[in-house]
Order: sequence, then structure tokens, then C-alpha cells
Amino acid sequence: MEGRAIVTALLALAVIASALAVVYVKYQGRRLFAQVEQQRREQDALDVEWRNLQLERSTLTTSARVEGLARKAMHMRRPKANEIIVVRP
Amino acid sequence: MRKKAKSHPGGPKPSLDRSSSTPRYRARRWVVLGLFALAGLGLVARAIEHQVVERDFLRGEGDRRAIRSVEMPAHRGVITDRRGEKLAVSAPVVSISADPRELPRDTAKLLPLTQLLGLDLEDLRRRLARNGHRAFMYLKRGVDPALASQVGELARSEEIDGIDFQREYHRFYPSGEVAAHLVGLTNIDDEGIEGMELAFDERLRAHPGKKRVIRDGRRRVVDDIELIEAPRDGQDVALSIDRRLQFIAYRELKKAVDHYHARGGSLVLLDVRSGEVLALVNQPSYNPNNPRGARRSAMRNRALTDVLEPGSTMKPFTVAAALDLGATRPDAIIDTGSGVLRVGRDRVTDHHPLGRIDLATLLAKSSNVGAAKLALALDREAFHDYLAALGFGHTTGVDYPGEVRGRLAPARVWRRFEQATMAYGYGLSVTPLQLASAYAVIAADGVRRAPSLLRRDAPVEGKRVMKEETARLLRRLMEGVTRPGGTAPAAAIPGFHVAGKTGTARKLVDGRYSSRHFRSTFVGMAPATRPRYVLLVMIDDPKGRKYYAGDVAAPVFSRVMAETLRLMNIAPDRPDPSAPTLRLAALDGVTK
Repeated sequence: MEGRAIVTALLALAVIASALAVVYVKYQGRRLFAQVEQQRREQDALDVEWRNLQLERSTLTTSARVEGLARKAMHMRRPKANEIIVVRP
Repeated sequence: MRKKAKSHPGGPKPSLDRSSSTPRYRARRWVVLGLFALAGLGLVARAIEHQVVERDFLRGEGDRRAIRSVEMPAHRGVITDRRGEKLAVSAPVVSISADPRELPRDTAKLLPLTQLLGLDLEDLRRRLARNGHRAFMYLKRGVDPALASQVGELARSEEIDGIDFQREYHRFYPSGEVAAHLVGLTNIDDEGIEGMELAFDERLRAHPGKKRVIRDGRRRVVDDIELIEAPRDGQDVALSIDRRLQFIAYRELKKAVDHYHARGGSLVLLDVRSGEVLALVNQPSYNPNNPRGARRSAMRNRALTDVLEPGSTMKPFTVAAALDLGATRPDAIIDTGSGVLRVGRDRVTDHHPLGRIDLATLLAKSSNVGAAKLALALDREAFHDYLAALGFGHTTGVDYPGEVRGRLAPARVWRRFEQATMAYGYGLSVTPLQLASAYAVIAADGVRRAPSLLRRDAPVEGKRVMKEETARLLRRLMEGVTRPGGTAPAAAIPGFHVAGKTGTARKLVDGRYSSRHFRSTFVGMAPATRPRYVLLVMIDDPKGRKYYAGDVAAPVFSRVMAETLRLMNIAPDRPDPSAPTLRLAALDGVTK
């Protein structure tokens, strides 16, 4: 009789503990999910930024713009034929 | 439940002893028990109804409220040039939609929203009146993500319900009209509809994923349930063109077309060793970032979809056929007489009588009679097959939607006069790419490599379609074209030997050859001693006094080819004797 009561009491405790554990795990799950979502949003935002930067870079490096800058801002010009030195191996 | 059941045995027991002093209330007990049993049965029945009979319906209802499948966006592959420069990039945008049934009845409340989005409130009211019964309507598509989040905040603070946001991708073309024809276009749903976007749509296309999620009452996702389909991004496609060369080609062609008030023009630059197309431009062009106003004619990729009669640019192949098929010899002298050749009832004429000429003069002075005489000496089947092997009459295999194959009639229907006119490029039609690709055979010592619009990472085996000595001889002969006294001294490039051929072909207008409308073409290669690049320039219908290819197309060739050689670091094969040359020995240690 004694033994059975102890077993019952232990089982009751275990049930309570597992119930609490379920609550805790569920809470953790929610919290982590919120974090994942947050990270996903961040990833998304970074992806948006990256693509826009790619576009920007591509637009800034168009030959038309680079050539214009080289000519105007840096006063560069094509070498004449007699100014080119050919290096022969 | 279990806990309750357990607590009972410890508690006070209802009295059940059978002392005769207490009444038994037997009937009453049965009634109470019966009622309990009935109630219990009722509960069980209801439970069965919910759990078994209505199970699917109820579960569906519950899921409908909480479980949603949401799309996981994926983006379309990037189109790059051969060096990885982006030519077409998908950037995220947001489409803002509304559920007209949930929008506020009072449309005046929408004013700040329409102002933010740049919409006309009146117009929106009209659209709402039309779509009022629907559950979905686009307010504006392709909105910048930052603006979209502003709209979201506004909708929250103004308590406007029924606004929804969808992530989409918009295609941007950083090179704009420079590479418009080749790269092509997508529609608003991100599907390829033109050019390489269409040809490689399958590869570029994004496959959005899907997942099931639980949403709470405020439409926030609280949990993922399952992944239905993982999103797959489209693959990137690397084209064969070089953005720098493409730009130079575009600039020079546009300048020439504008200057001569021409109807249009095409330019094709080929890499001789690989067959890759390094630049391909057409005029007129359009801005693929805003294609709405573009005329259909501006969207045509003329270099691949328009045919032209090659005119005199055909002559080198006539000479090659005559040499390879044994009808003439490199040192042959052809008598063109007074510049008129009778073929049946028709006549072939030269601009000036040239008399007895060698092959070099035939090409340099572009004699129709000379070319016709060579062609007439050939077996027509053999001549036809020779031209077909050079790629005439077939699509080039570049996988471009709408590429045409031109026209090379079967030999059995050739009349004698046609055989003669074919020698100088009338009676057959080719695309600019076909013509350039045939010249690449001469440049590659007689080996034909199919052109490609995609970057080739491995060398391609060509097919020999012309004898090596013939190709070399032709190049030497064609160098005369760009020397003083030839038809195109303007195509010359300081420091390099240039071989090429002009063609000023009369256009067919209403079925007759016009004497006022021309197509001026120059095709050439450099450095002529060991050619690396073949360049074709075609100007369609130049107006004004100058229309000869040597005046109109050759200067464009010279400028584009010179820039190409400089950019690609090709050593001059005819250096200026006054230019200093450094031997590598002097640089030892600098380069290593």
C-alpha cells in the first residue's frame, strides 16, 4: 500500500513537471520562431539592398559615364599611334 | 480528469450503508442516474457528431481562419556579359493590392494614400466602382519597397483596412538601349517576351516556393507548419558580348545612322577564334526599362531578323568558290571588257570599264562582271553547296527567337542570270549575322565555327569549308580594299593590316531595285595577317549625297575595330616604323 502511494505521488509529480515542460518548450518555440522571422526579414532587407547596390554599381560603371569622367574630370585621352610602345616578347 | 478521479477515494464517501432506518429512495435514484446517463449520452453523441460526422467541415473552417499558404519569393536569374557585368537584374519591388470590400466606404479617407502613391483619387473611385464586388484589385504594381512600407504605416495609422502587399520582382536593365535587342525584355509578370530573356526563359525563370503557416487574428504569421515547395532562384546566363565593346559599337553606329539620316543600321562583332558574338547592336533602339513608348520597328533585332541582299560583300565568296572548285587560279587575269556582260537577255554591268583585271583588282574595284564571269564558270550545284556550307540559307544556330535563315534558292531552280547575279550578291538574302559569320571563315583560315550569343568556356571544333591557302589569299586580296585606291580607304586602322569588302546594294522597293535607296555594308577583319575579330557594319538607306559603303560604313568599322583592338590588347601587325618598340629583355623583372 505504502509503495503504491509513493509511486502514485511520483507519477503525479512527473505529470505536473511534464505539463510545465510542455508550456516552457512551446514558449521557447514561439520565441525562436519570432527570432527566425525577424532574421528572415533582415535577410530580405539585405537582399533588397544588395540587389539595389548591384544595380547602382552597374549603372555607375557604364562605359558612357566612365569615359565621360575620364575625359572631363581627369583630362585623359587616347594615345596617338606613335605614342604607343609595343612590348615584344 | 485523472486528478479529480484520484481525489475521490480520499474524500468522504456518500453513505451507502444498508440500515433499515434510512429510506432508500430507490425510484428517485434511478431517475437521477437516468438523467445523468442521458446527459452523458447527449455529450457523447455531440462529441461523435463533431469528431466524426462534421470533422472535415470543422477542421476546414478552423484552418481557413488560421492556416494560410503563403508564397516564398524567388528571383529571376541575372543576365551578364562575358565578364560578369550585369545586363539584366531583378530587384524586389512591392505590388500594393486592395480588397475593395474591406476598404473604407468613405473614399475620402483614401486621399493621403493616393497622394503617397501618386494615384488619382477620382480614377481610383472609378476603378473601385467597377471592381467593388471583387476581393482583389491592384492599387499599384512595382512600387519601391521603402515606399511600400510607408504605405503600410499610413494604412495602420489611418486605420485603412483591406490593403495588402505582394513581393514581386522588377527587371532592370542597367545598360539600357545599348544592349536592348540582344538581352530582350520581360513582361510585368517577370516572364521573358523578347530576345535572350525569351530564349532562355526556362533557365532564367524563378520558381517561387510555397509554405503553410498559421496566422493570428491580426494576420501575423505565428508558426510555420510545413514547406510545400522550396523556392528556387533562376539560373544566371552569361552572354558572349562584352559590355565595353557593345557600348563603343552602339555609340559609333548611332552616330553614323543619325549623321546620314539613315533608316537604321546593324553591327556585328565576332571573335574569330571562338565564334562568339562580342557586340551586336542595331539602330533604332529602345529603352528596355521603359518599353511602353517603343515602336515595334525599334524593337527588332535587325542583325538577326532582317534579311538583306549582300551585294558586293558576296564577291569574296564567289572568288573563293572559283578558286576552291578549280575554276580559276590565284594568278588568273579576267577580261571584263567594256564593263558589260550579256547573260541571255539580261546584262551585268560595272560602274567603270576595268578591262583585263586580276583577282585583287576584282575585289578592290568591286567588278560585277568579273565576279559574274567566275560564277558562270562554276557548276551551279557545286556553287550552291559551297555557299550553303558557309552558312547561307541556314539559321546560324544561335538560339535567338525569330532568327531568320535568309534565302538561298536550290540550285535546280537557278537560271543562268541568277547564277551570275548571285556572284555579286543579288538573288539571295542573308542576315547580317550570317554574313559576318561567313567572313569569319575567311578570317579563321577556312574553318567555320557556328556563332554563339552565349559565352563559350571551352574551345569549339570548327569545320573546314574553305581551303587554307584560299582563305589566306583572299585576306591578302581584300587588304587592297582598305588601301588608297580601294573602295574603302576609310576602313584603314593605323598600325594594323585590315582586310574587308564594301557592298552598296540597291534596295528592293515595291519589287524593283531602287536607284535611290541603298544598303551600305562594310565587313572586315583585323589584324589581317592573323585575324582576331570580324566586324560587319550595315547602314540601311543613308540619305544625302554620300551613300557608298566606303564613305558611310567604313569609317564606323575603322573606329569600332580600332577601339576593339586597343581594348583587347592586340599587338599591331603593321607598326609605325617611327614608334618606339621595347624588347622584353629590357623589362625583365618588371613583368615577372
